[in-house]
Amino acid sequence: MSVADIIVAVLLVLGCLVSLSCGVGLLRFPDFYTRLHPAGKTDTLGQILILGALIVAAGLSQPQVSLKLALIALFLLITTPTSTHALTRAAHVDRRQPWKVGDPE
Amino acid sequence: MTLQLVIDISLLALVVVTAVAVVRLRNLFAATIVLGIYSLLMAVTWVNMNAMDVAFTEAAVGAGISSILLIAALLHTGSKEKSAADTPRARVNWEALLTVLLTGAALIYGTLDMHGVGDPQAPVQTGVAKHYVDNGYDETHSPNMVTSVLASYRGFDTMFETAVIFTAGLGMILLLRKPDTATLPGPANAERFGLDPPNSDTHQSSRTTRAKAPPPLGADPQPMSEQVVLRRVSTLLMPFIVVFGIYVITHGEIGAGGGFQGGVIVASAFILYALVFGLPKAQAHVPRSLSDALGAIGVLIYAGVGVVCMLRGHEFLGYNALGSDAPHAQALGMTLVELGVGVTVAAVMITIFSEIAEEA
Repeated sequence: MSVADIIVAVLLVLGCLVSLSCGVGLLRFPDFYTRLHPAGKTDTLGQILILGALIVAAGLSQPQVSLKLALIALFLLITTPTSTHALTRAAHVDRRQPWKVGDPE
Repeated sequence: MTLQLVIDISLLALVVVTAVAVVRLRNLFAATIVLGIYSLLMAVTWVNMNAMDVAFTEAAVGAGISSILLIAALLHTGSKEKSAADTPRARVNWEALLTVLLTGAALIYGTLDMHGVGDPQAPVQTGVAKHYVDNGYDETHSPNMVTSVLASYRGFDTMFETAVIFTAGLGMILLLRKPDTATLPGPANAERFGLDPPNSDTHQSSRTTRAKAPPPLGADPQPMSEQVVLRRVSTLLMPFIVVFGIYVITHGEIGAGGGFQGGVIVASAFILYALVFGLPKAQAHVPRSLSDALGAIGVLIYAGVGVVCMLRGHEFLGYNALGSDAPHAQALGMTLVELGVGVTVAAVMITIFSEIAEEA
């Protein structure tokens, strides 16, 4: 097992764990705003980690694939937080009240 | 059991779950989003079956633009489906249930005679498909067999698919388009539309109410076009989306993609712009007259290629007429035809979105 393989495996496992925590967070958090927290942040990180693993796996032997994956990662890095921002804002404009401690979940 | 089969089974199980969820959900916004998830799952299933072009179309059209168009349509209806409690007591419709059960049973019985997936003895493998697989590359020089079948061998089918999309755009214009607000109110135009010439007072008041009406997409005190993040990101992405769309249109011959997917991507750039900056500003860049004309021009490009082939002494859409060297002539013909498809699809998607998103 080469060094690259180990890096790929570590990144993939980390990415899957982060994505899993995103799913758990979506189910466990009480309201819209708190759910956006896992949906926005962990989702971005999970995707970046998995794409990073794929970039390492493609490596320098397939530069065109690595470059495309890097562009996709950059695209996601810009668009996912933006969509989270737009969603939060839309909920705020819709006068959705944030959850407070003691409210029913 | 191979890993691929396990993935397929779990994906298809999720597809069934989402399909049932779409039917059961009463909130139509949620149903639309779940429908998008359904399309995305189907796209992943197609990828698992190595059908990249189909997956691309499903992702771009099914998960992408259909969701946007459905949500835009929901602006005009309510977001809640009428619940069963509001309707007179729902009874089981036995005739319908029996029909559904019988049809389903007949269909399942029919599949028993079908060959397994990838069976070399299946009629689909032994018929004309063998010719495409064996000779497709030599005859068209297109490494993507899907495109050579779609645009060359079955070019006639695809032309009428393009015509169907054009017809859809035409239907939207005829059904939903209101007389042009820019030219309507003037007394000079009143006779053209068969209206009484409005006197200046009512004209003035109608204009002020129009100005006071909230923008169609959100009553945000700060409009989206003034929010720094949305404005910057959307303007940053716009050129890349358009370039990618054109790349997909022209590259369909070599890799996955083609006019349908690329056209949708180009149209999505317009839709993004319209969502952030408002429809009027987007239409200042792509006026209705332009998108209307382009919808027809795309079909004309497609049919025109066919007519040029005829004028050069070959059959309709016989691309070999376009050059002395057969594979290159085929490539040229397919690229031109895909361009026609892309232009029509992009223009018609813009038209459909504009007509639906128009303020009610």
